Amino acid sequence: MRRLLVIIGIEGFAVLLALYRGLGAVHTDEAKYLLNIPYPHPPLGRFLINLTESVPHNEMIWRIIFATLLTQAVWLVAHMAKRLKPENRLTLCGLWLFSASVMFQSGTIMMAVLTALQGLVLVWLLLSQGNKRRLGWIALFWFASLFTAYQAVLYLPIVVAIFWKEKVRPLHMGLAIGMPMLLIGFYVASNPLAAASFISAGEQNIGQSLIHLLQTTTISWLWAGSAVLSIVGLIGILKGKQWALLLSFVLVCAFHITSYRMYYPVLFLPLLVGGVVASPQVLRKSASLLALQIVIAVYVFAHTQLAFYETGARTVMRQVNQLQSNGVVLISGSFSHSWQYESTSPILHYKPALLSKAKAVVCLDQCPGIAGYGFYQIENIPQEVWVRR
Amino acid sequence: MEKLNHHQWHIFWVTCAVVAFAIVCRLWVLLPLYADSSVRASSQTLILATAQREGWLLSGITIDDITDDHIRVLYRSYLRGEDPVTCHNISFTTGKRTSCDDF
Repeated sequence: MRRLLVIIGIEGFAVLLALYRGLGAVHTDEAKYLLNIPYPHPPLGRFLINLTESVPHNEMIWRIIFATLLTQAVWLVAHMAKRLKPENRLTLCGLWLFSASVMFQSGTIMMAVLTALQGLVLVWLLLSQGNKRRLGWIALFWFASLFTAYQAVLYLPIVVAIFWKEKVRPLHMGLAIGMPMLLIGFYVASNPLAAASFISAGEQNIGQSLIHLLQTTTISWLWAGSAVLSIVGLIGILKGKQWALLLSFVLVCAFHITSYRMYYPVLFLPLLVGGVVASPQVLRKSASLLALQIVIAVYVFAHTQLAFYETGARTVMRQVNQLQSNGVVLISGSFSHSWQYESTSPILHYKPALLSKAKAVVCLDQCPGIAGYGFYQIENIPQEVWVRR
Repeated sequence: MEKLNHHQWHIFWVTCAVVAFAIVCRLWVLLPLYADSSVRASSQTLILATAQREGWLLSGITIDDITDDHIRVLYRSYLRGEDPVTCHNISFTTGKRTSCDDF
């Protein structure tokens, strides 16, 4: 009964985090997954998300599912820490729940969240015994992780260590780990758009100074575990001589340096938990650590801009979707996939030659020729929007 | 469950084989792009020019087939609800786009 109450309490926390995210806007990457737009990530995650496209409140359902997965993962953390003293176990669970990356990334429909959870499962497997009987499933899980998001490759050292520990024949190990990686490579080759976005992501930080990149990566690592879990986790990795975790940590840092995005800090989290479980003496002053973690989490939350307003895309498309006429929506200027997510009509780039097909035109930039084409402008709307008379 | 555990490696290899088959089929379609740099360059130019002219978003374009004289693309308009998909042939010689139904 007590466990059930805790589950309900955590679920309440998850729903609040999802609602907090849902009050803002659909991020362009979230729109890509919700609509199953085939880049940059492989298809598994976005295919599953897209299955519920026709369900009302699809977006909020997935926010709650993602938030539930990330917060209820605390039970896996508790299982990993079952050999720890009860107070240390409770502390580690608290450190997980009050990590900034859990609090702020829970309600986001981002592949990084799923990859971090897959990383947590891999860390759990690494630190548990009796994997010999389930190596086939682990290989399949590795395959699924890679086909959810490329970033799973950052946990490659952990997968190698799991197979290495079980003394699997090198050829067998190479095939089990290498085949999914080979297939994901071929998948990229078969999807030119994914390949192009890969190159673009890799080049995104070119021109920034190394000091700036290191600073961003350090902040990301500290933010991931609300500083406390970040520091004790890394100390644990080093003290416990967990080379696989350390290598993955280095890979995640390198990934941040080459292509930082604000939703990548969560990728550190499973490694930090692994560090604490591998070397529990880092939790010597567990009560103080948990208290400090909660204080930092509250401080971070209080100092974060809360975006409780809807985006222009949602406001505009709500009006446009209500129009009775048929036709496409033309948008001038640069726009994100969130516009497509909010629309029930096809969206095309603005061209004066396409005006005959359009039922509405959104001018984020200049719309030459619009005024003389039988459209009138809607008033009291954040963007310049024209609809067919 | 024990029986399923017994077949875990079979399941893994079958999954790999099925996915490999799907990817190889896709790569087979794109083979001219990899085999011939002039096809690659002209395909890229044609697709970008057509997308520019038609107002298409690049993320909605999929190459369906490449022959000696044309490239066939599918254009999917991603939106909330069922996505309309249209099929087009773009001639390598004239650069003109025609609907697959008219071909």
